[in-house]
Amino acid sequence: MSTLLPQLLLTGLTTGSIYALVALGFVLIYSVTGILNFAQGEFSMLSALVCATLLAWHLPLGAAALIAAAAVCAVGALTERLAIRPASGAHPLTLLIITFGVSMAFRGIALMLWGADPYALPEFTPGPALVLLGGVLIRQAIWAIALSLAVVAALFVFFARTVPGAAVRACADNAFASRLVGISPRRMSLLAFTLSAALGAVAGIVMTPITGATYDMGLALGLKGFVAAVIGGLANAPGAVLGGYLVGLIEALTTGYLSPGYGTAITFLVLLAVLFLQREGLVHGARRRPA
Amino acid sequence: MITQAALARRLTTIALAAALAAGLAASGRPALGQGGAIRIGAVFAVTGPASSLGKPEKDTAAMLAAQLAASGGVAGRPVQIITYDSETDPTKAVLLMKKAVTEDGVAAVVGGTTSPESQPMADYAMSAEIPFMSVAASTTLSVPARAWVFQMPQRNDVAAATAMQYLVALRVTTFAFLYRNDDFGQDGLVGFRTYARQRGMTVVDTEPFAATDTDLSAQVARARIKNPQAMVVWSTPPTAAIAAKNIRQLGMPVPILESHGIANRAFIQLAGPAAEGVVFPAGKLLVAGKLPAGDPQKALLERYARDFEAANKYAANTFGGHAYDGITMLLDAFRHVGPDKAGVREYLEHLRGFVGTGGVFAMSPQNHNGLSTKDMVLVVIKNGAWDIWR
Repeated sequence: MSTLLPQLLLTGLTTGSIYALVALGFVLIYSVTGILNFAQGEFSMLSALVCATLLAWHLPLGAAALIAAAAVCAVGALTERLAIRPASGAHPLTLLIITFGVSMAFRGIALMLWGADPYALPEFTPGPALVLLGGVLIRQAIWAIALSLAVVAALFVFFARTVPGAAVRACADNAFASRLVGISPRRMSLLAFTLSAALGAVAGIVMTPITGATYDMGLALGLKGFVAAVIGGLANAPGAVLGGYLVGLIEALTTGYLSPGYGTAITFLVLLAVLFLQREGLVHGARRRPA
Repeated sequence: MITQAALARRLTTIALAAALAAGLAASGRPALGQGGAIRIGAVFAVTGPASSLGKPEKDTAAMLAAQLAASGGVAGRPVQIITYDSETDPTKAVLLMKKAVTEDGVAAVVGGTTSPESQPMADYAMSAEIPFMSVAASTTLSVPARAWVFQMPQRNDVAAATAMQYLVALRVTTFAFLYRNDDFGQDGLVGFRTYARQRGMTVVDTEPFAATDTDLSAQVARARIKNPQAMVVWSTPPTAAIAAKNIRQLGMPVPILESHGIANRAFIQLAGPAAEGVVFPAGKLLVAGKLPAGDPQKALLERYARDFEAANKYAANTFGGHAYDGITMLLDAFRHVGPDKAGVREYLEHLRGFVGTGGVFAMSPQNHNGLSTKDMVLVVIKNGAWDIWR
């Protein structure tokens, strides 16, 4: 079994990096608005399919990816404006159900536009895979891991070092007080949705060369990202990233050592265990106070 | 006392009402009697997750309907094909079939795009005693044979038997089996286990995975430890393509055998270079142009592909072909025995040598599918295109 372990770890890290990006999207919106956005996975789906279509129109991959990400950011902003804002102040459960509705709508639209067939994207840098400690790491996986880490670093700098970042943090901390000092929670909510859509877009575009993209990929992805976010504490960005990698590794290890059917079940068992033992997730962060 | 004039008025009203009612009934009820249109119900998953199968099926039905309208129908009677969209929902599929039979008065039903849709439709066909031509591939649809249920596609067990011929030809003695953990994959697993035992081969590893899995390198790594001489993957894209990619990424140089579920362009696009050399069983439509001149299906396959592409602006595929076979087989029955349900059933059950897109059907009371490994070919992916293997 010793030959199996390195491969499982590398597989876990690859899928984990994707989950981490999706989990970050959850955390960002939740900490600013208190909404669990179950349309998060659909942002990834839309970016992947838009990117594949632009590529089919003979755009270079870089341009296609950028345009797709920008388009999905706009979709994120529109979602906030058209679906979330009109119901602002509603019960959190209502808002959660709205995001479910949005995700179903996106899936339905994607099915109409792209059909049920899977779409492909080429690897960013094609070439032979790397052999690492007896395991194989494909180049696209390196992209996925590197991008997820880079995005986390960029977010950290944004929150810690920039004024808009500080405003988002202030809003997450205490919406009422931030309004008193002239920060608009509404604008911050819009910003959170746009940024989350961008995170989802990065995840979708970087994973598609490995997995392919289908109209219904968002549901499973969003669920895994949600689990990762909850394990990480839901309002804690580094926790979400850790949670993402943890979910990826748990899946890979249970698939490898127990049975492939158990991956998802074990993941949810871990989620339950975390929730029972440590309500705020594995990583303690600033707890969100009711606004 | 009612006056003569009032009575006349009242009688006129009653007569008018009766005429109106009769008219309504005539338009609402199909004319089943001699000389009226014969109706075929076509229930396909035009939308929903199986739309990539259901759409070409519906387009095939529309194409045949247009041809029937132009030619004036069958045996001097017009034939209507009424299409319904099941939205890939088994409940809707069976409800629409009931509507077709009880309200629209169809003489037979074609459809049931996916096996979960076809199963309840087959049950209903048995209770309503109406011929049902299923276009789904699950082995259980025609094994054991049911009186009113006929199956058009090459069944999953026939595909597995055809695929097995590749391993036999390669003279491998061990292989690993990666399969999607649902009806389709388990059907294949049972088939391969049985054939391996018969041929003295060993299945060294079996690895299930879920249709939503995005990475199968853990499964491939487990299989690699057992050193199989060939890798068999029983699924559809995207997982079928992910498996092929992971096998090559993990540096396994062994032959890859996949299922008939990859007989579409999506697999080649998703798997990219990893698709090269992959072999799979398929109906002959995929390689119609490369069939030898003596093949009994060649002319029909080329005509169907040409007509379909002219009518729909996209390439014909095997799924549309199954709808084509179901409808043309019914037309053949109508031509010989008329739209009498019991007569049609009896005729279909003894139909032999019927050339369709799926193969040359040889039905019998015990076999309501009538296709065998002779009706499939092994296809290899070469330079991103399909070719007949050997």
